[in-house]
Amino acid sequence: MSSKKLGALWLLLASTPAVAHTGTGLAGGFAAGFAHPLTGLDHLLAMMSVGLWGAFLGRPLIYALPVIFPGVMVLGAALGMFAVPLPTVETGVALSVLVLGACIALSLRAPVWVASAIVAVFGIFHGYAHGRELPSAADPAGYSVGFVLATGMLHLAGISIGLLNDIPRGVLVTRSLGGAIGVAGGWFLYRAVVS
Amino acid sequence: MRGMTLLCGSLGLAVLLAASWIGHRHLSLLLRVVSSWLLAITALLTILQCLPVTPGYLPDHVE
Repeated sequence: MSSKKLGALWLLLASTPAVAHTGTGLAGGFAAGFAHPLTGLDHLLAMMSVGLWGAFLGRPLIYALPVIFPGVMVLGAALGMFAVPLPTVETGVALSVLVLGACIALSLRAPVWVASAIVAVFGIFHGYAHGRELPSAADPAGYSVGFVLATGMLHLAGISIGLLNDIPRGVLVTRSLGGAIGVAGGWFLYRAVVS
Repeated sequence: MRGMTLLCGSLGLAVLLAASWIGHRHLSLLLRVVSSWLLAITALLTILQCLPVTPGYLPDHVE
């Protein structure tokens, strides 16, 4: 076989299909959905704060808040999917980081219904933000599974950090963390309002 | 998607059932939390099926 034919054969064998459409299918949608809360710092901090604040509040909220937030988030996602107008979503998300961070920093022991209401309201904003992107995802079903599970994992991560409260000076560490989250929330809010 | 919805819903209910059987309090509560996520996913998948158009499912030039 001549070298030209060998070269052509090699090129033919080495060629790959067009990979412009990455992230498709159930796995791609799941990966995109799972990454969405993790890659958005505002989402990540807010969802960890829900778990962390729940750890401060103890039973039953340590278990109730990670149930309420994802549940209400689904409602918010539905509003987003059906393009129901909801003004100032970015402001709502930023405010969630600020308020939850402040609640942790101040070690605020709210009654069950107050804490639940706060988390529920913010859950709508976060869900709406996820839902607005969901219909254009490669696989909306996989995307849905991904972002709900990621949300739950972040809540558990927050609760795990809250276990520091049981060690000496652990409360100081977690409250400082809450303060840092609150400051970040203030920065997000400033950007959301100014832009 | 219907299959996935049924699967998630069944799994959520199964985990909830298991949670009520288990005697260990913390594990039972953790399972209840996990089952709530699965049921939330089920609700979301159900809502997805009511969407008039889901761009992600429209065939593109690759398909």
